[in-house]
Amino acid sequence: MRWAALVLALILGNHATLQSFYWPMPPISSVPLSARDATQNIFLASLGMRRLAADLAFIRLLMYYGTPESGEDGHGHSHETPFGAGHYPELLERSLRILDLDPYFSYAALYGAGALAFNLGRPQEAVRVLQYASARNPKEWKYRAYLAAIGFQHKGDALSILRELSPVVDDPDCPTMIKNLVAFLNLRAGRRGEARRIYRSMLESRDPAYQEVARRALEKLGAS
Amino acid sequence: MRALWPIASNTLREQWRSRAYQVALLFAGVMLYLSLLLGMLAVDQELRALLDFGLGFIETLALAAAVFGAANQLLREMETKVVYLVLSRPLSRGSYLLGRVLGLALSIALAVLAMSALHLSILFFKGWAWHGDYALAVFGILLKLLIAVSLTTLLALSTTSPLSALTMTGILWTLGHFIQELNFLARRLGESTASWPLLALLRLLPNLELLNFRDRIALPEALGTSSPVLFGLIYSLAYSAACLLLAQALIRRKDL
Repeated sequence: MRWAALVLALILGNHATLQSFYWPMPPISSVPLSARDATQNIFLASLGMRRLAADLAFIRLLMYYGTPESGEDGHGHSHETPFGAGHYPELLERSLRILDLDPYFSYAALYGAGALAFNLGRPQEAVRVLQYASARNPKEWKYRAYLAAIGFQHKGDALSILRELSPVVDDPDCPTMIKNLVAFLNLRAGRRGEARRIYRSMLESRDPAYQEVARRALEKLGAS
Repeated sequence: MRALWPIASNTLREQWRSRAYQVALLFAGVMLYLSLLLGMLAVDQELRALLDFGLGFIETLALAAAVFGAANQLLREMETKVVYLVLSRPLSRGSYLLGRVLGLALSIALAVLAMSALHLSILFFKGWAWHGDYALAVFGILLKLLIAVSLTTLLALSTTSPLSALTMTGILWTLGHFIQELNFLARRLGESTASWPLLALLRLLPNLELLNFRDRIALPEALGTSSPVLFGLIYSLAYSAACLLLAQALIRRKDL
């Protein structure tokens, strides 16, 4: 009798919990899984490690985008594309999948959208990433700033891009790639002081490639 | 209550000397070092990766030590008849069980705190600034482990096999993280009779996502951790108490 009462109490308690339960991440059943990482993502989700799954997906994205693309130029000569440029056809899909795993991973969204819009010249795909991210986390103001900057980039309005992206630069979640862009635009607009300040902040980046870019730019500006 | 402490402290000592526990702690050190290497791959998001990998490793290794201890200790004492010596003293079976679980929970909590201290030292070394979410994440891990220890104890007593207790705990741990998905599935099945077993299962499974504060770090405030903490604590204590009361009823009926 006591057993039955205990089990009943457990069921009722769990029922009440279930009614009020709210989990801020979309169910894993709604996440489109690619063959590449389905097992890993399901395994990590089963251990309650969605953020970790998103981290791993992001590391894979960095490795993908960080590996220079090589190809042939039509004359039989193989060539390597310059840093950050290329085609990277999976970049959009990979960015979206990270957001499925962790919709609040704003850095991944900003990084993917920034690379697509400002490095690879695919603003439509960048807008898709930002809209996807914004639908899941509408309070993130940086997405709106990015969207506006991409719009101005389409019009070739560098000063407006600068106006939209400048507040983002001081945010800890701003990708160094965007800092580099804003510093460069400041330099072109003749704002050497602001460019110098941004390049200095880039020296604290954990990416040695951007540290080198900043060091060289500061040397040119005469303020290393 | 006074009778509980000698049993609990003895369990703590036994656990500390246990090879599985020591290996889990050692392995945690190795994994935390590995998280340093993995974190470097995340470049500007190194601290986030370090934080997530570290907390993930801490939880997984502490879980392994907790369920292994819970599945083995009681059954081993019953098999080796040590339990007769203990119960020949003026000590109820319920107190013996509670003392064992308390000792195990304390040893696991100490292991989690030790691993967290190591993890924090790595994070601080890498330039991480303290955030209260970390303490909440560790608190959530402890609450989940308390449920795991109680549930494994109940399963070990009801199946009388450490292996099946370990396997079943593993399955329940996994399902406990899929509550949202199971709920979704139950809703999809609607009113049909096919949904009844699922609905019953949903009401018995531990809701581990409720305590998964580790995955809520740095969420926007409205979704943050502050409101479900007290609820999570009460839930975890109530669920563990229910499991232990059932386990107590089982051990009372055992032919010892």
